[in-house]
Amino acid sequence: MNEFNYPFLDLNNPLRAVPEGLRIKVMDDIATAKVLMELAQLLGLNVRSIIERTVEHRNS
Amino acid sequence: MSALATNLRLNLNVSDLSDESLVETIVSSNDTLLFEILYNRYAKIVYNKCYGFSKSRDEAEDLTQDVFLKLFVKLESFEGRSKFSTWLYAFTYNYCVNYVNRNNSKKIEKKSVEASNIEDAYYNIDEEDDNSIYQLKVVKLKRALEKIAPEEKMILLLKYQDFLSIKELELVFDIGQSAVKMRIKRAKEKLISVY
Repeated sequence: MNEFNYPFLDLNNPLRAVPEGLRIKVMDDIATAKVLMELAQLLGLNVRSIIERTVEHRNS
Repeated sequence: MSALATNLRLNLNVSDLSDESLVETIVSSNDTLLFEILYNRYAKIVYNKCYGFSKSRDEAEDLTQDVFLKLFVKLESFEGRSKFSTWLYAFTYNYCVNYVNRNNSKKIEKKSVEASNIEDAYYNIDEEDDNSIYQLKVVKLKRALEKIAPEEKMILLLKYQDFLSIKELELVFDIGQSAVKMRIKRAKEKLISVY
């Protein structure tokens, strides 16, 4: 395979920088999810499924 | 040893962990700081993969945010049958494909192939078959990838951008070798036809 003629490798080149602030948004989400998961564990709820369904409908 | 030094040493050790060991540690400890290390390792590649399925920077950012949240929740489902990076790429593409399908359900022609119907078929993917793929130009390829179903785009990217083997693709899609080869063949044909 000649990589110079291999367009799939160039599709994302150069890689775009991750937007500033995304890390904070992600880690805030994760912290919230962790609290919810731990609370749910205490209450016997399946919060993993709830978070998953919520995320999937957020962009609809 | 001071607490700072201990933490520094711990951080250095954690940074040295393989992805798979890091994931195992995160799952067992539910430690968000460790998850941040995983984020640091993969944010750029996940963001760029999401960008390939979105129409704007903001959309790609939202997708990436949701992928990582879902990843944290589903991390324990990583069984270690493949490299973590392979699993994460498939996880990301799956999320993006579902996102695109939800938003464009009326525009996208969905073609699902039942594995049971094609197990007897055998499609040979060899170097000669791939020649047409290697000849594509980047800009036109990007446009062509927008025109095919996201599921087809996903399998082509996994095969030709992330270099997953047929065996790894079997694990990702949970289908047999023949089914994987047939999906690749059909996706390639579709791509070439719209290119």
